[in-house]
Amino acid sequence: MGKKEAPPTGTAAVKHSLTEKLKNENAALILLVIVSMIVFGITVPNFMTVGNIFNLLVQASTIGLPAIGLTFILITAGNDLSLPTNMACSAILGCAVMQKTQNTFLGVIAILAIAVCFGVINGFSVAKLKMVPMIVTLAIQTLNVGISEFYTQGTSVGGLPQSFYRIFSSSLFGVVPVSVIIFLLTAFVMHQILTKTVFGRELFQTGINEKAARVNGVNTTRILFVIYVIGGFMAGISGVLMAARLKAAGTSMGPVSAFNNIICACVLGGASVWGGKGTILGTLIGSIVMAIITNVMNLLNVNFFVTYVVKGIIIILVCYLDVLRNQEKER
Amino acid sequence: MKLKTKQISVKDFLIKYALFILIIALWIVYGINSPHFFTIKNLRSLLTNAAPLLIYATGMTYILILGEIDLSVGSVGAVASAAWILSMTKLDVPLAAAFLIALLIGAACGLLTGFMVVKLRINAFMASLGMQFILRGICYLSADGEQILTPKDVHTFANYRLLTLSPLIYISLSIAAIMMLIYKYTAFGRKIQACGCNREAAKTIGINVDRIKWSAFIISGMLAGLAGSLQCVNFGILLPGSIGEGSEFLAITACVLGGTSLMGGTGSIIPGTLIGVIFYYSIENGLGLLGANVYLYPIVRGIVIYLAMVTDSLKFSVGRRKSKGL
Amino acid sequence: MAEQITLEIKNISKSFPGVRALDHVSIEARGGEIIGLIGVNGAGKSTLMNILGGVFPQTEGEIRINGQEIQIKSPQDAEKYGIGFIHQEPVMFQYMTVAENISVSRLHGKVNYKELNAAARKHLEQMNCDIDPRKRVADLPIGERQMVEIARALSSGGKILLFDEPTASFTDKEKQRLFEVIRELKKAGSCIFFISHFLDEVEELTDRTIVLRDGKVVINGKTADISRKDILRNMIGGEMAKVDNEEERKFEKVLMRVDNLTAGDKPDHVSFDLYEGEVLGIWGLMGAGRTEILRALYGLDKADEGTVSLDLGDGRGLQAIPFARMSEYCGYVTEARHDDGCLLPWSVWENMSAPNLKNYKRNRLFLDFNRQKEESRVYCKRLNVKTPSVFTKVSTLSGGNQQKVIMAKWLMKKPKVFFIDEPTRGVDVGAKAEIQRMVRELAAQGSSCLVVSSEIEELSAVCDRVVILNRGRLTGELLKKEIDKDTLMHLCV
Repeated sequence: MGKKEAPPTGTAAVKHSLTEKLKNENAALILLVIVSMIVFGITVPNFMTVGNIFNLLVQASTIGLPAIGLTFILITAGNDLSLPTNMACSAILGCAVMQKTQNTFLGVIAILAIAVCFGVINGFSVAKLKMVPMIVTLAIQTLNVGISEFYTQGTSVGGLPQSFYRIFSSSLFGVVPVSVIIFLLTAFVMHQILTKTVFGRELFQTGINEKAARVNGVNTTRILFVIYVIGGFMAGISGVLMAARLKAAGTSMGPVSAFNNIICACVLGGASVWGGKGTILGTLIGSIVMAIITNVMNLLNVNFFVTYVVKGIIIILVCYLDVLRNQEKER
Repeated sequence: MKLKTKQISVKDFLIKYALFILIIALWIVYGINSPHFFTIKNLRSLLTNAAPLLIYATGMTYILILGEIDLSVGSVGAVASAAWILSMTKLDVPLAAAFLIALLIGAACGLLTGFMVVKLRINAFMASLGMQFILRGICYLSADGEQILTPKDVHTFANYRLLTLSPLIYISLSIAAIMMLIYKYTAFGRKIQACGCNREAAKTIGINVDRIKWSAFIISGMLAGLAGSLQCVNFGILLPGSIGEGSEFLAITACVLGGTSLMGGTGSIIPGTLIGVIFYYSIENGLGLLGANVYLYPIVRGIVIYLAMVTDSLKFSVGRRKSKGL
Repeated sequence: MAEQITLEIKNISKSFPGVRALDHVSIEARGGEIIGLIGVNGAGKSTLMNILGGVFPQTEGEIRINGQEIQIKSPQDAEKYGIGFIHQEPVMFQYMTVAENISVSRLHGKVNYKELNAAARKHLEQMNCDIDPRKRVADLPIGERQMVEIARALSSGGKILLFDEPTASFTDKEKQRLFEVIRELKKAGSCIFFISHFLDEVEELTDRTIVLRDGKVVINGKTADISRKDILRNMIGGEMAKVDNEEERKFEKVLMRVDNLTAGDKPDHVSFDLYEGEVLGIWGLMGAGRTEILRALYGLDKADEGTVSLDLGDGRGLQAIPFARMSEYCGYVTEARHDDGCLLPWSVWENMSAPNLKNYKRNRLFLDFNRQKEESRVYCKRLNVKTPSVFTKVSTLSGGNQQKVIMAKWLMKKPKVFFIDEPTRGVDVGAKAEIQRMVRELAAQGSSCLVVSSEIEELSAVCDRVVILNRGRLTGELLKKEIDKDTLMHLCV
């Protein structure tokens, strides 16, 4: 081949083009993370301590786990507004089971099962009934909030078995929190699924052009269904970890507005609400960026409300960068 | 094609009007169980409560018909109402003039969102989400995170009655009516629908799509400013965290319940959005009259909205099948 | 009759980066004349029309109307000078009424529906159309939408009307109706440009034929004086590549049997057999339900009735297959390439392996990307896909090459049956012959093909047998040697 080969597109990149891929997709973001880590490490007291870094990763996991689920959903140009409320709702109901039975295993299964149930409702409505994702998940969000509030009546569900805390909110070697390990492990597995399996490739086909995907023999209905179930499952894992960390489950775990942080993480990581785009690595970094913002603002004692403004500006800037990048490609 | 006469089967009829059937069924249940549901007094309080949402949703209808989305309206309302209250308490601006300031601030926010969507070509969902963050932060900052009691003028305004009706009802209904007339009977309104139906075609025949879109965002922002201020009137207090919180999604829900398509191109303010808003509020209003547990409200709301959307999607799929049969 | 309008195009050239789309083209036209404009894809017809329609300006040269030089910078300018552009796919606002569609661009201030409807009715009547102006465009059949589009051009004072392949999706009746309207307009003194791929339409309708090739005018003369052979030779600038389909072949083994297939109005109880190694054509007018047969068979549209059986070659003979699983055994080259054919943002190799992922697994879980790429390279070479590499994005390839990528992806899957819908629409003559040859080769290798095409020449070139479809029902069957225009037309109406 006479000409130099162009790098493969987006997600299908394989090893030899790893550097190229970074250049295309996440280089700016990774650079931003590194630079900000260095800058904050020097300027912000207590930032570069091991404790704080893991603290930061724990924060990132709360955003990151549902964001991984949302990445799958965004690739199909879908949306799931119910992720954070699902997380709270399933944690509350599951913890109630755990509290009653004092059985950690049963409780955790209950949390995951309930979260998956809501995912199933979302998936069924979008895939089978062909409803608009935003509206369906909005209704489910309302339902989640309703159930959570109805059950807790403004309190929270505590008194969970000790083993639950011991397993999920301990730290490996006393340093690495279990939740961070679970987060990174999940991210790794989901990355493999998204980039290297038939399902992942079919998912992208569905997202890029649903009609063409169907002609290619992809069961798009199944794909659409499965991603919302995955979303629910991610919310469930996140719910388990958070309940263990807070030693209780309450409505404040997943306020409606938490969705904004989640979608920000995805979009920072290169996913697009138009569909067809998204990587787990990007989302991972995106959620870390979101965590850094909150973390630094906390450490600097900046007025909490400033973080809102900063986050808003960052979202718009990232989207604008994406616009510029696409324009460049078109030329 | 002409030979095909209109044969409406019972099933098609049920599916087509499922939403209305659902509404009426709900109202009948409420009406039977509570003697207070179908009273003027109840309708009055329902409309007063619904006034801000009706205004939010009116602006949102324009945006949705254009095939865009604006998630910032709630925060715009918060910032505008903060400006309204603060200019009265801090600067002693009279109520009406302060109102104008709120509207201008709302319009300015819409202008900015519109700029990002139209000029910078940022996806409207994300641009308005960013604006939502920024404006919410600004609202908190301007109020120092505190609740601010509304001045006396506002209470006088809230308790004023014209023909036993709150001014909120007049304002919201007349705005909905005006916006409906603009949509239906002016070139601007027609061009909005044209852009929503087919953006490329609109461009080809010389409609300035960007200007139409930008105007719609400004209008939506201005109406959001008004709606936020009226929410403040209803609360009787400036709560920087609660004014407009989630209003954008409520507005979208109301629009969609009223038959506006998220894909753009079709929708109506009266009757569409108005019905959507009233339906939404009557869910809770009725539960309140039935004396249901307050914590039950969101559950019922979620289920009813979900069912309404299911019936709507059935209608859509039937329509799709029909159009294919042509 | 008012003054005669004259349009002069003088020495117009248009360059795009790397391409000279128009090269010193000069054309004169006057009112009361229908000019047929033909040429292969990329010959410059669309560029010329787009310049006149104000979509983009010319690089050099001038345009004069009635001797006055004009600058057309935008579609509105074009409208101002009385140039109306009627698009191939009617550009419409489907949720708005006919009257609104006709006049929306000229609305100012308040809208008076009475005036709007009256004006719309006037223009529709001018064309002998009785469409209710209050109807929503979404409720009109496609032929009537085109009428609305013409009415829109007339209502803005259009004297020069540009028709860009208007009949591409018309039934014969709609086509005749359109021709009547165009002749009517001609009588009223309009100057009409008619672009078409169908030579018979140009012969039937136009007074003058202009053939473009590589951005230059190669023929410009009275339609009656020009032979079809001349046109064809000048369009492609050489002899057309011949497709070899002479030998008569015998088939014995039934590979696919369709029984009583029904889905909505059409197809309507369709039954036929497809033999191993056979190319079976489905011929019918637009709207006869040709594509619908393929879609229902492939499980894309729900079939209400009927069965399909395949011989899977496992010795068990024909066995019934659920429609939903047909995509496992069949390949489907769809009609609308951009719509549902390619994944445009994906590269060539990604597209080629997309329908066939299950065969490219490295182990039970993961895919083997290297094998996908290698095999894509092989097929690129075999089908002569002109692409810099398999990593090139499909969106940057030309129409013909995209079509080849689509063919390649199904070849790589090696299905039992190929469904091929309008394989050469919008493809230039060179690629067309190659694609047709490819279909023949498939058959020679023992695959069976089901080909839908509106071009009789194409069907007779590639098919062993043709079934005729009329309003969703099969009405006849012809062997290759029996295929000729008169018989086909006779059977399909």
